[in-house]
Amino acid sequence: MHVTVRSEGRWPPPGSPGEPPPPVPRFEASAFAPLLLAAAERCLGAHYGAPPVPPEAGRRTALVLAATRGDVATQAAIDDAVARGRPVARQLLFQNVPSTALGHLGIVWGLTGPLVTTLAIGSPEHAAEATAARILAAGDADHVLAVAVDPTAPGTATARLLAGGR
Amino acid sequence: MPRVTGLAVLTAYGSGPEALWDGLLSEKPATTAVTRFDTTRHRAHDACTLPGTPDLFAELERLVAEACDQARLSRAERSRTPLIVAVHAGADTADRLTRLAAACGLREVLTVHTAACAAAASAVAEAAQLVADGAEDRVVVAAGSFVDASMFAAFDDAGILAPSGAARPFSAGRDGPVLGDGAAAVVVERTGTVRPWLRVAGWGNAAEGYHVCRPHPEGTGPAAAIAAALRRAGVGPERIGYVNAHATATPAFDAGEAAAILRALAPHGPHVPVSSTKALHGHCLEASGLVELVVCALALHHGELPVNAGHLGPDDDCALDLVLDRGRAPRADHALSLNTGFGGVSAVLLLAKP
Repeated sequence: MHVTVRSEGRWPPPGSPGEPPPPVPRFEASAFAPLLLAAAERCLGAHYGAPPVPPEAGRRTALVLAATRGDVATQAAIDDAVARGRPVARQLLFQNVPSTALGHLGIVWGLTGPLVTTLAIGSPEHAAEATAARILAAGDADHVLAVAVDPTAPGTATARLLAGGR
Repeated sequence: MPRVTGLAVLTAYGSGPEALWDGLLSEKPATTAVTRFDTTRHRAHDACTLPGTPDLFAELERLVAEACDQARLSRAERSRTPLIVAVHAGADTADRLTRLAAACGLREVLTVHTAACAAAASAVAEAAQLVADGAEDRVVVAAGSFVDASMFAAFDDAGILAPSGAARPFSAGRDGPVLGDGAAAVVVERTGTVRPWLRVAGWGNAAEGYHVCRPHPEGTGPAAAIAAALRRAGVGPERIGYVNAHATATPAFDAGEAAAILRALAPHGPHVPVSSTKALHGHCLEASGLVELVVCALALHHGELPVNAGHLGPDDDCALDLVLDRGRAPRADHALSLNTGFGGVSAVLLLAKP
């Protein structure tokens, strides 16, 4: 299915390579979630302005993530605590799955369409767009926020708000 | 309509659908004291684990081959078939899965779903859609999650696991899940040469948009996902003969899910048989949706519903028709499999007798 790009957001911003993403409460152990959220916030803000989106539009907006790898920094923090015999901080459990970050975005912006997170085989931009196109073709959403993340330091993320048609 | 023609599964009850079915019929949880790693400092000490420390990718490779053999796929057919996977993603997961697909003679890894406990159901939904749309003749879906020290510690330190070692879904006095080893593979086809286990009639997915790790008390997310699955299939709630619930025995989540079932299946909700088999095979996280698809296939095949084990007594917040004793048949020819994950994602499969 052909998709059109309604808005786009990137992190780091053009002209600021290597700039760390803004911190996000409860997602402190790793840049994975802040990275994807920084790009997504810019993309959604460019199209909708301030959150939340109107409820009917929110219900018809899907959330898609494709990442080149898992959140290895959070996993390492858990593994390290276990190796040292120390308690694992509660937020690490939730932070260790990528659906939590997209869920956070859905709460802030009022997005309650389908939510799909994937590990990209190859280009994360291509993987995110392929999943988005499938959701749009099935009629499960009118818009898809498709976020592609490469968390390998320093980390990059691209978010596109996609719709069907030409 | 997409059909499941090959099916392989591994749980703490052993390898194969027969071992799982025997375990479910025994009504005895596959729970044992954990020996895979030290649990001394934890509140919980039990899980549904296989002996030793099995290798997830080796087991997935074996299960994929078994499912393909069962579906009688030729070498040429396998070479044209993509693999969709649901696992927890690490640093080298993409490379390992790419090698796995090659070792199984499959075309490629198409997608790896990672949305926590909703991952496997999302993977099946993608496969079913690709087959239904004619984009693929068939898709192999595999999913797996084995209990490890880090996973166990993260859940236990968050105060989630049942200190009692018994998961009691929808029950009064429930105090959390018991983790479980689980892995499975299925072949989803448009046609096929063998008698299918199931038809995948519908699927739905929704974000709740309420809280990243607490459910909406009215279950708005899972209710929306159920409604989407029914709508896609053109099936009304009166045709639902069984619900295999996500219910992990977590107080708030079970109540929210019960509200979702009652709301989405109204006015039939109170009369639809429901059980969460996580009380028996454990909570298999990313593999849950595929292991529980196999449970539904077995239930529809044998005409008997697996029990909701560990039930101590009713909870007013979970006013469902729970399957508490053996011998109940499905009420109709469709089953719903529900799973939800952190972030408020719900993924639902609507499964039907072939």
